[in-house]
Amino acid sequence: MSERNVVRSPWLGEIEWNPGCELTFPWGLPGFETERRMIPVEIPAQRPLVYLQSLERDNICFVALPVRVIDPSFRLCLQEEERAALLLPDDREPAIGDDVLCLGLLVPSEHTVKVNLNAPIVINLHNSMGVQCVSTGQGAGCVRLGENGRWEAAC
Amino acid sequence: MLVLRRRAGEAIVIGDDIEIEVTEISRTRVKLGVKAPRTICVMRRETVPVALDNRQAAVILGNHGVGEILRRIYAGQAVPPAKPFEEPRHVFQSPLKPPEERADK
Repeated sequence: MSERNVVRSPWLGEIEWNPGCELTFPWGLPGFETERRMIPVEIPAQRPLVYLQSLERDNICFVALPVRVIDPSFRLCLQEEERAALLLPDDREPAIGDDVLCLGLLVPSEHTVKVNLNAPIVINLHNSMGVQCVSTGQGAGCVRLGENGRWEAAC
Repeated sequence: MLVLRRRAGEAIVIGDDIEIEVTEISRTRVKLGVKAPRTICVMRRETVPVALDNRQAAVILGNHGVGEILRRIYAGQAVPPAKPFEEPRHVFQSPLKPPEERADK
């Protein structure tokens, strides 16, 4: 009899997962360097939200949105080390949606949430490796979700 | 600030167990190798505020929930979904496969 893989999230309840869904973050996330294994969870009624539930600690769960839901013109900027960690080829830019999934983490900000589009979570869809890619430059910046559902510049 | 000149292959040490080596110098960048105990957190400076944000992001469900977030997201859509929010009774894993692989399953 095969063993069930179960994580008991205080927020999402009991989640049974199969190893094919597991994401590997070789560097963890900034501030959570030991959080290297996560599963993505989608709840149909809550789309387009994506939960990233840690498999290391039950009570760590991030909430994210695909960056193109926030900014349809978002362009990914990867550094050499990030590309290597994701095992992406050097000869072409990865296509968002086909090669990689880009998620913006929702951060509480006063009565709403903000997303730092300069620090997307990038997941290689071909091997489930993930890295939070932090760029220095004048990228898309931070945006905050307004009352009317529009994303407004926050920094 | 202490300023030191180093060439590729040379290093500096901090305390007893941290060593930073210049491994490569290009026209616009310097590549550094850091040897440090696993308990020492080493990160690029621009990552520090991201780490602070991530610590807040990790407790978003405990402190806020997602109801208000979803209400706002759907408020910005031309056609709101029929069911704007349901308590998460059924949890689905997303296999996150590329579309061409997903199609044959």
